[in-house]
Amino acid sequence: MKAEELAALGQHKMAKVFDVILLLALVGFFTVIPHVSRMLYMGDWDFWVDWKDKLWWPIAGPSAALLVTAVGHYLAWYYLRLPLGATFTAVFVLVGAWLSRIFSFYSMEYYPINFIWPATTIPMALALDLILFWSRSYLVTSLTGGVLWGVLFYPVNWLMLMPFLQPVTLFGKTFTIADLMGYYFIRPQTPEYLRRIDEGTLQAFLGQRIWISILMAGIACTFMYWIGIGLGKLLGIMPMRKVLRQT
Amino acid sequence: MAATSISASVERQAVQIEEMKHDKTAHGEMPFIRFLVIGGGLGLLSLFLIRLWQGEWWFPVGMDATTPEFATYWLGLLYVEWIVLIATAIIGFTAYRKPCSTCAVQRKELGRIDPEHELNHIGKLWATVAVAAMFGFGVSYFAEQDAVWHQIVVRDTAFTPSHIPLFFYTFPMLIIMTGVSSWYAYNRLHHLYVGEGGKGIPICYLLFPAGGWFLFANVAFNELGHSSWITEELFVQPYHFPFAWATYFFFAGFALLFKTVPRIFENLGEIAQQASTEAKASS
Repeated sequence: MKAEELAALGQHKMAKVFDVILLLALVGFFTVIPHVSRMLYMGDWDFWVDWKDKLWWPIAGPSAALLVTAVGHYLAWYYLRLPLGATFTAVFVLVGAWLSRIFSFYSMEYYPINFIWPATTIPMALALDLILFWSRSYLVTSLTGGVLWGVLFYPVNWLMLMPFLQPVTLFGKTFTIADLMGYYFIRPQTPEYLRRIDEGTLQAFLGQRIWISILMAGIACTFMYWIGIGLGKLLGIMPMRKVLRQT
Repeated sequence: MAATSISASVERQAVQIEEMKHDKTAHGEMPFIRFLVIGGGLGLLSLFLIRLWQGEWWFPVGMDATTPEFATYWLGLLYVEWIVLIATAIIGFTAYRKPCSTCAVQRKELGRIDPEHELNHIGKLWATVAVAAMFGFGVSYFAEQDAVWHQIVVRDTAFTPSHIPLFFYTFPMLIIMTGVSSWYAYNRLHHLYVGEGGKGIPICYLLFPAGGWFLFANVAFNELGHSSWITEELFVQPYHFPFAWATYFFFAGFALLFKTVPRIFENLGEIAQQASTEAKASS
């Protein structure tokens, strides 16, 4: 079938109905899959502002978020030739996260919104999709978009985090505002000893430790991109062709 | 007398076959748009009502699983959910337990299925996937809610107010709805996956419902982990990871859908062709 004929058929009323149904399926599954993945790999870092540290959050956060975003990015390009999959996934994972933060964390258990905001990945997702669109190459996208994803995660979210890193002195001790909020808003099931706080060894690097984490995140995300592509290929495309023969 | 009744019955059958030969709708089935609206609407309504119930009762009677009020309000909700699940499973699997008789007649009489009739079947398949996806939205919401509920209440039972909609409603509902999608594809559109007269089971039929099944199976592992190793609700602990792995199986749903896309275009092409031929003939 020629491209013009296909385009004409796409205008058919029935084709539009199929578009809407596909969109509903995509919204549902690209909310649940990345959201569950993200809440279980970076959950506590994403839930609480005092967990958003300089050592682990800049590495665990983008790596966890990229895994399923890369699947969306790959499947949208493979099936629909649309450079929108990563952005779509990044938007709907945030829709899922915000619904839960507002209607569970805030309105049922009264944690303030500025203590529980989720990290965003939308700017990096736009970059990932654009790089694939320009380059038409997964290799180029992994080496540039993957690195950018890891490297930009902290600076992009730092704009929201910045106010909570201001120092405050209480009872002769100095904390960040985020830490102080963590002490006031008690979480009996996430006690202090479970937190992945900044570790002493990295203090030796003085102000450079965040750069080390960011660099590591860029490298980790380059690999994570390929794991995402592999996952999409294994579970989203390969099952289309494989048939278990009856004996 | 008997001969008259037999001839009437044969005549009726002939009329029925003639009707089926030209049937463009999914004969005897709910049209797919109605299915989507009713299925999706009822599903969303159920999730919304559960959330309202939680808001009303989880602090007053949800904090202590040993009280009789807890059994009334929360186990009561659990039993209602089970009734809904059983009813959905029975309706879903029995409604599509046999291949479509219209398709069989059209294949036999015309050697092919009417393109519009087949499009209705494909639409129904897509609608079942979309309704399943809507319950995925419920999993996304209630799973994160569970994280915050356990900040308030120490885990005292597997049937806490946040687990009741998550583990015992949306997880099983995902198994049922993804299973119904595969079941529908098997009974109505199998030829698109294995070719006309082909045999075998495409693995997307199995992988798609496997997601819900693995989610539900991991509930047992999760409860074992919480009772044995880490009682705290640290969400990033490793024995939560299989929940994330389970959701990856839902990607197989897209294989299930996209396998039908070439046939959608073929059928739309045929419909457009027929329409233009009819228009030319009438002018």
